[in-house]
Amino acid sequence: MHTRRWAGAVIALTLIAAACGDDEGSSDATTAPEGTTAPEATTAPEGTTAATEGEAESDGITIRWRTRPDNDAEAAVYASIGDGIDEANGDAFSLSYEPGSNEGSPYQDQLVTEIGNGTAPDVFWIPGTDIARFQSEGLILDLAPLASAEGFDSSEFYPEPMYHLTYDPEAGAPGDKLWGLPRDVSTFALYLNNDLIAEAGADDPRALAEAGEWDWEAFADVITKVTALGGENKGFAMNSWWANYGVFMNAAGGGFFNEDRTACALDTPESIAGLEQIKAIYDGGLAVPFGEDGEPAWKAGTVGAFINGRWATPGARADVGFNWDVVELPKGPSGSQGNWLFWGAYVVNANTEHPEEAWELVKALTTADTQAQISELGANIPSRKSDAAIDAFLGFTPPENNQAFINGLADSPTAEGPLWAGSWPKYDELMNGAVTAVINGERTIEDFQAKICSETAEAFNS
Amino acid sequence: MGLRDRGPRTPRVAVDTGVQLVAAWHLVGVAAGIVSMLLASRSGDDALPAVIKLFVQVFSIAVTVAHLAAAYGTFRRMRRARTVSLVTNYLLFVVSGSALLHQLGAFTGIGKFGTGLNKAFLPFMVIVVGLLWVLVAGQLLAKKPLAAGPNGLRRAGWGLVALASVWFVIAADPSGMLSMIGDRITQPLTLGTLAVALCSGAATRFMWQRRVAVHFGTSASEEQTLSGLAFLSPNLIGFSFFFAGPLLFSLVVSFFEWKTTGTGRSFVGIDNYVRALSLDLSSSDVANAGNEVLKPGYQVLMHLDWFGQNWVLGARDVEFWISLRNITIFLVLAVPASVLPALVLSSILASRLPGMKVFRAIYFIPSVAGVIGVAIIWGQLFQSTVGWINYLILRAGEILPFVDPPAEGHPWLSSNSTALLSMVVVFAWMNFGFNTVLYLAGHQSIPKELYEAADIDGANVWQVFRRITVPQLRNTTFYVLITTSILALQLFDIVWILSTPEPGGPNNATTTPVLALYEEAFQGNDQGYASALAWVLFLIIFGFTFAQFRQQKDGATSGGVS
Repeated sequence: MHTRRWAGAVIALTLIAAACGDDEGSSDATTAPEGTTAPEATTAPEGTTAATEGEAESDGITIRWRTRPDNDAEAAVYASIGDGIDEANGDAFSLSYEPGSNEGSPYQDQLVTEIGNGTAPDVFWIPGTDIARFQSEGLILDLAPLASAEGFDSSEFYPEPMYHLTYDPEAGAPGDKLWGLPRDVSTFALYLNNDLIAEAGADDPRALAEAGEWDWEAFADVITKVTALGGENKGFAMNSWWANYGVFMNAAGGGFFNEDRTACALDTPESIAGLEQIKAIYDGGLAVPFGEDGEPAWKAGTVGAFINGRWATPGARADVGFNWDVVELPKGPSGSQGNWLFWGAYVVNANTEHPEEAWELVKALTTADTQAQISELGANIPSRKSDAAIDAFLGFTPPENNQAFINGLADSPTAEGPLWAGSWPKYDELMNGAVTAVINGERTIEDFQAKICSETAEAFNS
Repeated sequence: MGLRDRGPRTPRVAVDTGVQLVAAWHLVGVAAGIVSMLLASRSGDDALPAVIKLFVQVFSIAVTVAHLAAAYGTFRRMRRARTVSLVTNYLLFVVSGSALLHQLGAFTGIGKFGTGLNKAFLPFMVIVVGLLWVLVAGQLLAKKPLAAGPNGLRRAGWGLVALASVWFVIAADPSGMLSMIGDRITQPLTLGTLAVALCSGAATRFMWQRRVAVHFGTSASEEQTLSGLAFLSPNLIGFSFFFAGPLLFSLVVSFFEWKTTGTGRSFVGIDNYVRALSLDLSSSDVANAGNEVLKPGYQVLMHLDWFGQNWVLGARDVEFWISLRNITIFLVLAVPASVLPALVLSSILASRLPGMKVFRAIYFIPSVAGVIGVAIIWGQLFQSTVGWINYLILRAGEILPFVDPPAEGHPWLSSNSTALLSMVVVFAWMNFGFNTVLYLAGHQSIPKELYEAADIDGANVWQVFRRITVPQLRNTTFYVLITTSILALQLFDIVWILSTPEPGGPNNATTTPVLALYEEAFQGNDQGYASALAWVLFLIIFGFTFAQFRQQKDGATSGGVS
């Protein structure tokens, strides 16, 4: 009986071991046996470490990487890109892709927890606004020594994100630092319901933009006419997070911060002018109530124009049944759209055991070819400003007027960025509460102007 | 469980020799504990954080003392020594065994296990079929023990299992796993852990035997205690590791400035609690004065007008105080909304009307539905422009002559005045079904004679409900109130989903204490302060529950129906 019991236990353990025996995508990256020294940095061309088919598999180095895809299709493309890089990489190292998710627990919260536990991936994506936070905590690696050693050229990337990615906190200005490379960029456009606008008898915003007449006045005329259709129809919708009201402040010549981003600028006359414009739209009943998600209403065909980024395009392609397109944001009193340049970057975990391999991966993930594959899905704009990358992007339709996004990027957008002199999350929290109160009529603009910068002062000291 | 009777088998190790070996093992444990203590105290701050160092030192002292007591008692053949040795070795075996599994990657290998199982799914199913075959054959054999057929069938079943197991191993390819285990098991630390697990396991097994119990003169009551503890140990250990341990750990963390990212830890005493609870009241010459009239570091929580004088109440953590206000309002609204309909509904469902069983199931569905899915659906229902709630209100206004239709849909979730109320609706909808089931169970215990007597006395439905049902359900009501209140005070998930994209919005109108501490921990990177908030919340819930217990007890002793 004893023998049988032991034999049963051994068989069961063998079966379990067998079931665990799939060595593909080994998760032992961070627990590789000691002594597996990293190979010297390869000298292969940027992002394209030589493909050597048939060579031996990697010698135990696995680089784990993660990004936040917007949907399953994008996750599949990232996985396929990882496989491609892995294949092209030969025996230098292997990759393990972990699609991040914001379902249940937001992406950054999970990442921060894993960093605290020492289980975070070697390479991961973070939003541009988090660069300072991660850098100040010492969570990400300065890649400048690796980049300069091989003469890496970062001039092809949009300069706005690179400003923050090369920022030297000690010098208080961009310097000899490199915190990562931008995965992609995005900007706002107005998603239009052309059927509704035509029914309202309003001018076509795309034609107005083409003629250089697309400004706040023309915008107000369009949304007023659409709202006048009555029923559930509204001329305009936007979501309630900072970038949405920020475009009006920017377009009026104001902004969140002073020029060197060391103090609040929400109380300047220009910023207040932008806030007054937003309030006038909401007070006039021209928009879906502030705080409500405008996307379902726009998709339901009851909104004329809805502000959103390029990331909304896949959803529009899939769900919208009416004639839709995009147009750039209307120009404000400053002569600018006041648009944002949204971005996020691949960064390297400060505790990675394989910085050289991680750097190789970061480069490979930001090549023009890789970005073109992602852009094809419609959610992203390449972070390289080369003509080839832009030409490829313009071909990914609908929407027909992809040029609206490129125009947005060309209109000196303000890069979403971290607050190197303080805490962006704190500033956002305080600012958002105050702006919401103004738009909802719970606070006067005069009171906002008088107090907002003292109320947000603590964000600069934390 | 209990002592196992080994029968006539000859013991492989003589009791005296075995006891001496166990005592020697305990001496090794004493030495290892002392070395571990010294190493922890001498390691630099960079090598081990202070808290971890403290934990290692305390653990080492405990292990040393336990081993010392066990070794001394075992050598002296003291009656209690066996119990001490057993408990020490058993706990050490559990700890070292768990550490070994961790070092071998067992806990993080579940995903790989699933992948491997997927690759060898067909042979796995054959194994399952083979085992079922063996089971059926075994039952046939039990009915006809001497029949050759079932016996042959059983053997064939085992053969099928064996063949399928080989197939399974080939299909799943264990080489990667074995190679990984081989790599890891040769690490010095893993080998050491394995040795500790084996020695403590062997010592436990030896000391558990009846002949050893006789050797030490263990009493019958001690045997029963040991057996009871052994039965309870999975739960006790699980509770200690996964509940009590983290709970106490969070208490320790609450006295530190403790970064979630692990990049900074320093002892701050009760500063986190002071920061959470600090208030400042200042008078002002002007209405709606700003932060400037408060102490540095305080922000305006509310403006007050008392007897013609303007006052400003400030707090160091305004968001936490707002969350306390919100959760109080939520509690006052959500608990009655979850309990009263359940009480009424259960009285209807407890009746013998046709179709009641179907309705019982229907009303219970919200309780088993996933909260995320429910919240998303409610979010769509509450949508101001394309949501069903506003649609129905607007249509009702058009159809019903006495209803004045609003000009446009109300922004339920984005209006300060209705956002929290919307959360109350969702919470009540999700919980009243479960409370109904609890009340239904309570109905079963009400003596039918009471209703019969009321019927004879000519009581109407309301009188029966008021004078019999409600008082008889007092204990159930108490339980339902307690559990619903605790759930309400811990509100998080509904708010998290429904207030997207600014959790707790609009303008902190739906911020709750759990949401506030979550944001402090993961977005503010301040685990220490978040832990302090969690303990403040714990004390509030504990106080609230304790008060309800006292009220229930007072009610029962003062003649209330129990």
